[in-house]
Amino acid sequence: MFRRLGSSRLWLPVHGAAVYVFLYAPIALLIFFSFNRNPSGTLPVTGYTLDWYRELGNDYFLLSSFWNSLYVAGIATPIATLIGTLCAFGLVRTQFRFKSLFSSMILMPMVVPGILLGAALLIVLRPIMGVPLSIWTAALGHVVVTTPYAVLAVATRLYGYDRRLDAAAADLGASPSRVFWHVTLPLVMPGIIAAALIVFTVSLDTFGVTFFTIGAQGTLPMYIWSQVEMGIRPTVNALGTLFMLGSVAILLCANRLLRQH
Amino acid sequence: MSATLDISLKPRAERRFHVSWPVLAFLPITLLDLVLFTLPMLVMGTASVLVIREFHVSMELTARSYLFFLGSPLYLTILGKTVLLALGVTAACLVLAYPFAIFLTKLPRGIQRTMLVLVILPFWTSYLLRVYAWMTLLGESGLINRGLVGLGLIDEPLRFLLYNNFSVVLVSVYLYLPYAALALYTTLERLDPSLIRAARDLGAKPWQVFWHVTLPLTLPGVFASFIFVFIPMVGEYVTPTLVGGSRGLMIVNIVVSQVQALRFGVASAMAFVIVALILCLVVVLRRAARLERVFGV
Repeated sequence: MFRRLGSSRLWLPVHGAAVYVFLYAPIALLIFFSFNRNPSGTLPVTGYTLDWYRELGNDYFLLSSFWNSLYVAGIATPIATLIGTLCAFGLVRTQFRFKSLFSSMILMPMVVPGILLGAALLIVLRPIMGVPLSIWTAALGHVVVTTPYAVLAVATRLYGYDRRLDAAAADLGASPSRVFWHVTLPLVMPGIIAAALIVFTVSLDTFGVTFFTIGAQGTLPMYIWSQVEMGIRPTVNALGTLFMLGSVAILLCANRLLRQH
Repeated sequence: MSATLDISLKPRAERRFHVSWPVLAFLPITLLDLVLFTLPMLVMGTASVLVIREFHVSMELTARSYLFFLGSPLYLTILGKTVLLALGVTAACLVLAYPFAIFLTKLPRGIQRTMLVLVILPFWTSYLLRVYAWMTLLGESGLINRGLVGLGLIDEPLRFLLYNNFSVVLVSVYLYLPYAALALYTTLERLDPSLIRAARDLGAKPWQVFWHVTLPLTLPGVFASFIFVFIPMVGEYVTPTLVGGSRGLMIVNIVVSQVQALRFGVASAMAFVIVALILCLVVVLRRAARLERVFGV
């Protein structure tokens, strides 16, 4: 039995390390190949270059889809964050019947495949309401999909909130609204900012719901989709590297905000 | 204690405020989900039994869309295959993630946080690009084939690496492994270690401890992984399109091609069947998976 324990002690870290390699190897290779001079985008390595990064700056469609993405995320982020924050307050601070059912229903837009929600929205918008597709219709879809993320982020922060602080402020004579604006909100603010950052990154990356709800102007994932459908491209390697570094930077900030006290 | 006392001493008007604020808090999200989530799904359900010609809807009831879908052996096969692939991916994720989650819980507290963030990070980075990264690995001119040809181990590129069910499963396991790992980690972390010590002291072998103590107590994590892996997997579109090719098609590929052909009726029928399946799963697994714990409430 002791030998078994010993072998499992070795086996677990080896498996753990293998999982990390599995998770990071494809990303690491993508970054590595973005500096490879070989225009096929893979092996052999024929030298190192920054040309693929330079080429990105000259791609008109890439730049316009990048601005479209910022536009959609810029519309979706404040709305989703506000709605999500309100809901998180309700979920953490009240008890009611069917609360667990309600909270799992709120998670639904996160698990229902985005592309099917997009198709459903398209059916409502096009044949039934006759609304033309645009950045705004895509932003509506993004609000639905990203709000659960905002709820989760703010709820995490609120859950660790010491409610005795509110009670102390009330004991000192603060009105409920004063307690909220001067005590609760400033303390929960890092969670709300983290929620906004998360919603923003998720929106930038959302492919499924965008696919059917955006018109001729594509977002960044739509541009990447049009490129990767044609196969491996060195410029996509470069774009992917920048995109991943950008989202990781934003999310590490969000993570820090959720943890700080 | 003091808080409850506080409320009972408050005048009537203020007490009413305490009752109404949760309604205000839940109103926006309820409206949002009703108008832009529930309603489109219901409309889609309705559209699946109406006659729709391109952009014109006529109010005639018909079961044609369903009969077309259910009468087509090809579509039914793909639906069945999708469910099987999703089950396979879920099982593979659980098998890989379980020991990994145990490994995470055994790490020293300080490193544990960092290692957890490292698990979450790749699934926050672009989903599309992570699938694409596998194309550059498995493709005919991808890293593995070029590498093997370069080393002189093979003359012709291996074609079984990409554009089949195998590549879909491999890439999907890669995509969804972090979800399963996190779900299992959360339940394993809450597990009282004294229960395992007690079982050991009473003479249980390690596998008996796992089978009779650890696994039953972490079943919520297993069910939660089911929700976060199986469900998105049934609706997977990007992976089968990019690495599955014509042999790795899944059901949503068919839905998308129907929408693109403006056959909204058939597309609605298929999508409605998938969404109904997903909803049933969530309702059935919700309690078992302790889904509400995701919110920490």
